[in-house]
Amino acid sequence: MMKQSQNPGTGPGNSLRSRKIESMRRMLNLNAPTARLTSAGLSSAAGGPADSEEPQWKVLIYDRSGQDMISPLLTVKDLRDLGVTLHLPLHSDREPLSDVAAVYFMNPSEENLQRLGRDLAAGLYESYHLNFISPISRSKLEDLAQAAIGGNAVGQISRVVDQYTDFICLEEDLFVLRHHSADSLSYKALNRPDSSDEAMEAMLNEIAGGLFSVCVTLGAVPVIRCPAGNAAEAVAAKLDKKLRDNLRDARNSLFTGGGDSAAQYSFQRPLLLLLDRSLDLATMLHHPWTYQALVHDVLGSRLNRVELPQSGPPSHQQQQQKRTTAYDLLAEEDNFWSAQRGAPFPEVADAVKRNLEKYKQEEEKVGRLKRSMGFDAELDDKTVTDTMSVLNSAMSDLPALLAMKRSLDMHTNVATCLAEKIKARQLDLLFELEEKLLAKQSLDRPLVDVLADPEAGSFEDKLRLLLVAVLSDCPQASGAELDELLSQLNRLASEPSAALSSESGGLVDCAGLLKAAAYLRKWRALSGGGSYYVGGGSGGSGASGSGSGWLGGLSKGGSFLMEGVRNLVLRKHNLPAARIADCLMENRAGQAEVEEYRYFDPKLHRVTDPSQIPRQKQPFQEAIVFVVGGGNYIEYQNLVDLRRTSKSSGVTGAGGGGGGSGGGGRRITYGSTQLVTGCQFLLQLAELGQLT
Amino acid sequence: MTASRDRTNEFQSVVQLMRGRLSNGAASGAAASASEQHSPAKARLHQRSQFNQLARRVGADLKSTCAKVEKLALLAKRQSLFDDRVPEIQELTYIVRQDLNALNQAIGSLQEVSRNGQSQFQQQQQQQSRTHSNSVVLALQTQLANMSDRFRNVLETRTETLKQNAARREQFSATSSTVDLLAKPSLLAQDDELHRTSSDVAIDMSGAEGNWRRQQQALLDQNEDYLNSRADTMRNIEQTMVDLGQIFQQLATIVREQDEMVQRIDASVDQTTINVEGAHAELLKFFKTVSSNRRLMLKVFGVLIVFFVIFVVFLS
Repeated sequence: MMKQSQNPGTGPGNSLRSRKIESMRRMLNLNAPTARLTSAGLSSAAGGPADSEEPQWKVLIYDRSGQDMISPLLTVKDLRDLGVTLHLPLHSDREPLSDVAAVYFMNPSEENLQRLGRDLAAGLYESYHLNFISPISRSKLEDLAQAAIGGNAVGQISRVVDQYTDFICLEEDLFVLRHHSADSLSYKALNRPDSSDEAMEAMLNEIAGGLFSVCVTLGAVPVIRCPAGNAAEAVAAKLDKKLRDNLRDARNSLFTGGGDSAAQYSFQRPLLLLLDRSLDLATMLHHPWTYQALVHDVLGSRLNRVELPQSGPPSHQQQQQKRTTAYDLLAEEDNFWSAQRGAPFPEVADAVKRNLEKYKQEEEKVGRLKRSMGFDAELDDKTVTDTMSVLNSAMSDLPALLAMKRSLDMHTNVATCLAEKIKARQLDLLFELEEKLLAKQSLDRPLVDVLADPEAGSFEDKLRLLLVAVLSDCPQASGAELDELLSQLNRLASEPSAALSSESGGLVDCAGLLKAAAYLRKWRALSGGGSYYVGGGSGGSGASGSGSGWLGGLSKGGSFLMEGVRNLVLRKHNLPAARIADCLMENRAGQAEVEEYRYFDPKLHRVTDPSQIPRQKQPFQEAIVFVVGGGNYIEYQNLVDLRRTSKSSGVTGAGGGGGGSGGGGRRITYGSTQLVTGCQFLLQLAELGQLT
Repeated sequence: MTASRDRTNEFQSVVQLMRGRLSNGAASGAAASASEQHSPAKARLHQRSQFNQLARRVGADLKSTCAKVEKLALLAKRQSLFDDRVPEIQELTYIVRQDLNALNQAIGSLQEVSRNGQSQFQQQQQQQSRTHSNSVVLALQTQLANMSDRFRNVLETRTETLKQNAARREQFSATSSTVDLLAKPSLLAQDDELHRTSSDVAIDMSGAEGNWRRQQQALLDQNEDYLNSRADTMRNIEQTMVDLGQIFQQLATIVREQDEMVQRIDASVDQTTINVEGAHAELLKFFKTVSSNRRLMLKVFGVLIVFFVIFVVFLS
């Protein structure tokens, strides 16, 4: 009954990202109904476009949200291959280009529509293809029609399309809802005591709309589960209603479309798990140790792009002339990154060294080739063709070699920068302490010492450590001792001499940040205890080596990068989000943790009694874990690891049969309203503390 | 797969509705607006520049040449020894080469047109349309380069096939260069020879030697013609490769002039602000140095005093 082979819906061409890219490409091909597109990856076919018509040149116009969405997916080269000659922001001065089609990609907000109206009146382009990120309402459509009539441009509006794509897809299995306007949906916004009901409703509607877009892009109607009694439940109810209404409307349903959607052939429905951030606040404040999470937390990467300050000659740098180099981190094109992004940092340093040596060998080979070419000048037929073929192969290898060199350079720079910062702030020490706290083990050094140590991280780091201690019910950080620790931090904050500048460059309002601690104490008292690392790691805790025993590994693991940084090994434990996802995906009866979770199934016609809904009994192969209120690369990495371990150990439970044979192909996608670093989250908590 | 919903029809119906409402209010306004709508559209058609028409034509030509290259690829892959459609392949190769040259020149003239057209207007106003034209030209050139690459691959496959054919012929017939007395079975086009000589040729040379020599002579002549035609083909191919090389070189210079294409669309926004701030700082510094003129005063007074002293000394 259960299929042993890999679920067709989980093939590599069907991830969220590839579908989103496909819909973007379709949009940029002017939604031509006859064009047949392949759903392959990013590289364009070698023979050029496969259409039989003339190429269409177009101009792409986007607003901030559109820009956030397109930039991680398509580079300028991809746009050029699709025939886009110019890409311009909506709110900029644009010249008339009277013989080019224009593709607009934006939110249907008031100011965007007004700007569009002005463009129509000015007659900037030959034809307009309007694509709205979220569906445009009827009243706004009428306003648009009026503007078009007023500007005499009705004949030029070729298409008006609602692209249900209100989310930003960062990786194959990672998405967020907002980036530049993230504050409207942040944890702080959702938990403010002084927000009105309408504002709350609006926020929840936005989140539900974003999730609806995700479902439409995947082409699947999921089964929704959520814990009861918080924002996640409200979102789940709204999403359920939206999906139900859409399915009801048989004429216009978005889920029974034609075409070759593979999701229609898969019999599995995905599981959409909605979690609230308040399930697990400690992970947000935790210091990370894996490569991608470190880059996000310490270097502040945004939308897969990280900026490193360039260290130029000091004489030219006066005041704040920051020269930064920006790097793009793309898992599809960068083998090193996709292999190493979940690895702990010392492994990354190792891998960089190994790859550097490999690259040097390749370079050596090419150099030898170059030298030997000059001597074989005979015109003997055989040698010429041989040299030709050797040259050809070298020529075709060269781009790959150059790409490898570029990626190695980038990663060397990034890793060096990271290592410097880790050493300066002793992040390895903090990580180790936090891991022990979260696993409820005893600490080597009392917290008082660590907080007093001026070397151990910036003020924010210390505060994060303290808050993690509070959240994990450490005996050293409760009651009176906590007060003492807080007062110590207070003293630290009020010292004028201490250089208390945060990583982002501005000065830190330390007293304000301490309010976060007050907020958390109150919250903890109200919400009762939460369990974090229950049982110290359920999924095979493996080698739980802590730092100090591994000093001998320094020489092996390190070069210049790793001096002074301990070679810590991550324990294999599951964060709460991953644990719950695992339980729900396996779908066995009688699991205590998830008994109370609500169950929504939009495909059922009539819900007479919510407690008697027929539930799906089989384990789920695909899941989307969505956290309302903010997400983190640590959680994301944890889910990726979960998927990997479940794949290797076979799918247990009712349907696995004789081992999953490496297939079973579980896919877990992680999403959130936004991705926050620890310091940003700390700031949000502090502001919440100020409001209460 | 419908991840989107087309609202065009709804939009059109809304427009009709509103037009109806407007026309109820002002009957003449509707007619006027309808006629107004036509004339700007017509004006725009006229404005459609020479550049755009040329670009479209080049694009269409590129498509047809691409199809021809694909056909050539199919033909070249055929490995058959006897059904070798040599004249057809030659012809097609020739046509494709001409087309490639013509396209190259057309794109060159397109670039000229775009450069001349822009010089008429003021520079900063036409920045975007200049970028647009440049991108169009670059896209066409990239397509041309891809197609030329494909053509080159096709020619290489053809060379491979020719070589294999030649090797097979060498196997089955004696060549002029090495008179192979270890006679391999000689395979001629005629069937009776095939039957006669296939089985037991390896050692038996005495009986059929004279016959065999005559056959060999005929074979040599045939081989020579065949080899000559093959040599011609090879020469043609070499010539084509040289042409292609030139095209690639031109393209390489042009591509180097263009910007780096692996940027993302939000790349330059931050950089601009940083540059602007840096420039501002520099300007402030310069202003400060210029406005403080204490040094200048000292110098001027120094010169004056020196002159005064000299004047006084010389006078007195």
